[in-house]
Amino acid sequence: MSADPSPQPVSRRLVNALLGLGALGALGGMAGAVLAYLWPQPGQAAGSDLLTGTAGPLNPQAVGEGQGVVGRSKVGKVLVVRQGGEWIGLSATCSHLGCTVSWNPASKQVECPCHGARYGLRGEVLRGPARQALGRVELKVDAQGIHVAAAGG
Amino acid sequence: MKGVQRALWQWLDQRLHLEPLAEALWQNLRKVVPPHVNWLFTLGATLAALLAAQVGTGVLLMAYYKPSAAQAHHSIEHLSYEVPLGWFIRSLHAWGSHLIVGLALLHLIHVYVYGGYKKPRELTWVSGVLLLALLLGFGLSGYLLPWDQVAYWATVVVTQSADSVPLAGPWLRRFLIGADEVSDPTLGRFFVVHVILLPLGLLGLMGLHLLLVRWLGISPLGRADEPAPDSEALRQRGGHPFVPYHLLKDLAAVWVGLGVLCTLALLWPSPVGEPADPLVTPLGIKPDWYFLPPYQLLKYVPEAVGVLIPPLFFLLLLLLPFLDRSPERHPRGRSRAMAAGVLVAACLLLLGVLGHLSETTRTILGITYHFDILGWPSHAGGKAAP
Repeated sequence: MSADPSPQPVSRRLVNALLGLGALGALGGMAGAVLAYLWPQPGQAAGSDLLTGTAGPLNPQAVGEGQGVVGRSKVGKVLVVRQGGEWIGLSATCSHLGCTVSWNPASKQVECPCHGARYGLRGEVLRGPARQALGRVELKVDAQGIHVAAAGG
Repeated sequence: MKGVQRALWQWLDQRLHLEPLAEALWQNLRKVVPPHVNWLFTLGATLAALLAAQVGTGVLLMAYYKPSAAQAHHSIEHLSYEVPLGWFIRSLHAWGSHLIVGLALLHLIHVYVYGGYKKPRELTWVSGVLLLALLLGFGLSGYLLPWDQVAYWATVVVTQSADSVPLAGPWLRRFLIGADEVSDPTLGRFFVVHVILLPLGLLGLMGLHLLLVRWLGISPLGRADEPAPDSEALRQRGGHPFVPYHLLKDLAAVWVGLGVLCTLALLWPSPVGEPADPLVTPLGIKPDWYFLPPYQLLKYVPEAVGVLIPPLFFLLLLLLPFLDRSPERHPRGRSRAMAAGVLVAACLLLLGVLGHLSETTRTILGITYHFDILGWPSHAGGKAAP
């Protein structure tokens, strides 16, 4: 039956709760700021519509009939194959684990050197472990080089 | 000299009151280790020494390494071909990483077999498994830093696997590599993780692990539900104090470990690979040997399942002391645990060997075999190619 000798206008529990909430809020804010800071910037992989290789823009004259070459553009890595007078563009990133595919003129197939996936010239899967087809890329060839017109499905 | 030492100690003790701390430390170091403690119990000390050497060579490498996609490979070439002993420091660091992971796995197997994870050493085990995860993180982040073809494409394959994580896969992968594909931001991130974040974690966890090991002492072979024998009982059974008997064994093993490291680095220096080319994937890209089991597993099961199995396996390892509640420590009384351990080790070994052999052509006993992507052999001719 003893009364509390010191009046407590604000209870200790309330102060602790406020301190805890404040600390949580500060930590959450900091975590958000760190995430925003580290989040990849859009457009870091952006390029032009002109396909370029390691040594500069790809030269269409250097791609013979039945040959293929990989270049980089604003839609990512693109495999260009010249077959029957036609320019065929496919995404050069294997749909399995992201390796760069290449054109094999002997087998007339697109091949992934990492896990052996094979694709046809329309991007369709001929052999696993890849399950998804390579995306088609519309190309435009002129005196400047090989341009990416649009990325299709 | 002794007078100077004594005067220095008195000066420190008068200010910091170190005497009780030194006495407690000395008592701890004089604890008697159980009689079954043999050379296999020196793995932890050897591992600690190799980690210290790894920190030393890592600091030296940082004096020349440049963490940018445009300069990283050139800085490795400069370090390996022009800097005096640069090739040796780099080889020590590369071989050190292999030895450390190998010894850590042996240490884990040893503790598992002797039941050292049981009460009251559950937290020692947990901190050890977390340390192993950190070591694998070091391996993964450090592998990319030379920015050569093998490093680049192995990192592409490993980080692309994160894409298959249910729900957050593509988000997670993009955050990990800092861009849409492995490139300059990835190198920056992996560098910071390798030289700042993981070493800080290592320092904290190693400190905790060693503290727990010294505080609790080496695990006896008796049952976990029996009271632990004191130093006198252990001495009567043939045990010896940690200092100097086991410490000398530890030091001998440390010198052997460092000797093996130097020998490997001298005889087989780390080669400098071709610079990374994101437009050309070379044949035969494989991760380091300790990542071969999950790499090979991904070929047999759907990616969404394959990427979840390694973290689940690690979680099981972490929770082992809380799942295996039997108080028996001696391997002879834990036949089921031993069988499970052998089965897991055999599966990992088999996956590793299949991963190593896959997509290669080898001649075994005069017959040439081609091992396909799954690691299955097919007859490829009677003789090896010249």
